[in-house]
Amino acid sequence: MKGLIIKDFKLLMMNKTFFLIMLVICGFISLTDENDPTFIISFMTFITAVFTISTISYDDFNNGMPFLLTLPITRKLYAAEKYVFGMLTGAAVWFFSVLLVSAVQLFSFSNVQLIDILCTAVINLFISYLILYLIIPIQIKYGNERGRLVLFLVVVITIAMSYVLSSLIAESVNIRNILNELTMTPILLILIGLVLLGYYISSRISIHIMEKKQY
Amino acid sequence: MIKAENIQKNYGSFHLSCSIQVPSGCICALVGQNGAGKSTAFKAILNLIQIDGGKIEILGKTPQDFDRQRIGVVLSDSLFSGYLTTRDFLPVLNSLYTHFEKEKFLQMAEQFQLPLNKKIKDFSSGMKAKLKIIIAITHQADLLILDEPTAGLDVIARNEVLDMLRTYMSENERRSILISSHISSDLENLCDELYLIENGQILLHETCDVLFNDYALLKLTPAQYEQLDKQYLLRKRKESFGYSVLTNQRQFYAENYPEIVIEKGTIDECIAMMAKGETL
Repeated sequence: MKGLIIKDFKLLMMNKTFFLIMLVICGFISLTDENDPTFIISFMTFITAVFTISTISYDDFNNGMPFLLTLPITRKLYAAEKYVFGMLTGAAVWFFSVLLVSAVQLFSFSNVQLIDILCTAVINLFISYLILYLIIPIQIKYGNERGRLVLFLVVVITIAMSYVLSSLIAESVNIRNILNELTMTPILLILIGLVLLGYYISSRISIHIMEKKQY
Repeated sequence: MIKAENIQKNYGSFHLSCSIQVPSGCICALVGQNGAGKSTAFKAILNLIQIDGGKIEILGKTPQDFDRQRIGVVLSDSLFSGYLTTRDFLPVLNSLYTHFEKEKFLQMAEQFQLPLNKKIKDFSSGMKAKLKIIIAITHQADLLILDEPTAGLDVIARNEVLDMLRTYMSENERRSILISSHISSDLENLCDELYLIENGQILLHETCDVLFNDYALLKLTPAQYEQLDKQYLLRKRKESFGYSVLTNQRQFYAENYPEIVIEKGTIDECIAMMAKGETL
C-alpha cells in the first residue's frame, strides 16, 4: 500500500499551488471573519476530500488503470488505499486547519471557546469522511465523466432527502425536543457510528466494483 | 510459466478461443493482425478481463492469485498516469517491488535519454515505449508479458529494445517472455516459438526453427500447380502468374520439384497466407 500512497501523494502534490493559495485565502478569512471561525476547517477538509478523489481520475488518465493492476497490488488493495489515503490526507489538512484557526482565535483574544471549535471541527472531519465514502465507489464505478453526472444526481437526492427529513423533524415536536436535549457526546457517538458503518458499506461496495471491473 | 487452455471470451461478434503455453526459458511470440485478439489474450492472462471459459495458469497460480513481483508487463496502451514524472514514480516502484533495481533503472533511463522530470503525457510514443520496457525489466522478473513493446520505435531504438530483451534472457536461463508485435522482423531473430492468431483463433503454432526451415512459399504457374503433390500444402493464393502456396515441407518440394520457385518462409508471409489464403 505504501507505493500507492506515495503515488497518490505525488498526484496530489501537482495541485500544491492551488492548496497554498487556498491556505492563504483561508488564513485571511480566519483573520477577518469572527462570526464562524470553523468555516475554514470544514472548507479545507472538504476541498482535500475532493482532491483525494481526483487521484482516481488521474490513475485512469490515458487508460492508466490496466497498467496499475499489473503491478504487485491487488484490486482490493487499490480500493482500500483510496480510503486510507483520503482519510489520512483529510485528517492531516483538518489538523493543520484546526491549528490555524485555534492560533488565530488565541492570538485575537476571541470570545469563542477552543473546545467549541474542536467539537465542531471533529464533526466536520466526520462529515467529510462520509462524503468521501459516498464519492469513492461512484468514482471507481463510473470514472470521471459519468461519475460527475452520477455524483450530481446523488447530491440532489441527498439534499432532497435531507429537506424531507428536516421538514419531518420541524413538524414533530417530540423529535425536536430529543434533538434539543442532545449534548455533544451523543452527537459525536452517532457520527462515529455513522462513519464506521459508512466506511464498512462503502469499502465493501468499492472492492466489489473493483473486482468485477474489466479493463 | 503460462498455460492457457481453451480460453474463451466474447465481445459482441468477436469471439476469442485459444490455447497458449509459454515454457520456462522460452520466448513465445503472439502475432496477428490488428483486432486478431492478441491484446484480449494478454488481458485474460493478466486478469484484466474476466474470461467466459477455459483455464489459465500463470507461474503455477490462477491469474487472480499469481505473484506479480515475478512478472514484468508492457501494455500497448497503458502506463502510469501521464501526470507523473519518472522521478515521481521511482519511489513507487521502489516500494512496490521487492527487487527493484533503481541504479539499473536510472542508468537505462540515461542511456535512452529519458528525462526524469518531464511528465509522461509529454513523452513521445518512442520514449513511452522505452520507459515501459525499462520498468518491466528492472525488478528481476521471471516472466515478461509484452504487448507490442516496440510500437512507435524507430529501427535503431527497436534494435536497442530487442538487445535489452536478449540481455534479460541471458541473465537467467529460466526466464521467459510472451511477446506480441506486428513488426515480424523483430520477432524473427528473437523468438523460440510462434503463435499466429486470427479472429480470436490460433491458426498456427510452431517453433521458429521449424517455421524458418520447413515453411516455404512456392511460386507456381497454373500448370505446375496442377501437377503438384498437394498433400503438404497449407494455403493457396491466386496470383497474376498462377498461385502462391504455403507449405510446411519445403525439403519435400525442393527435392521433388527442383524447377519451381521456392521462397523461404517469413512470419509476414505465413501471417498473410494463413489469414487470407484459401484452404486446400
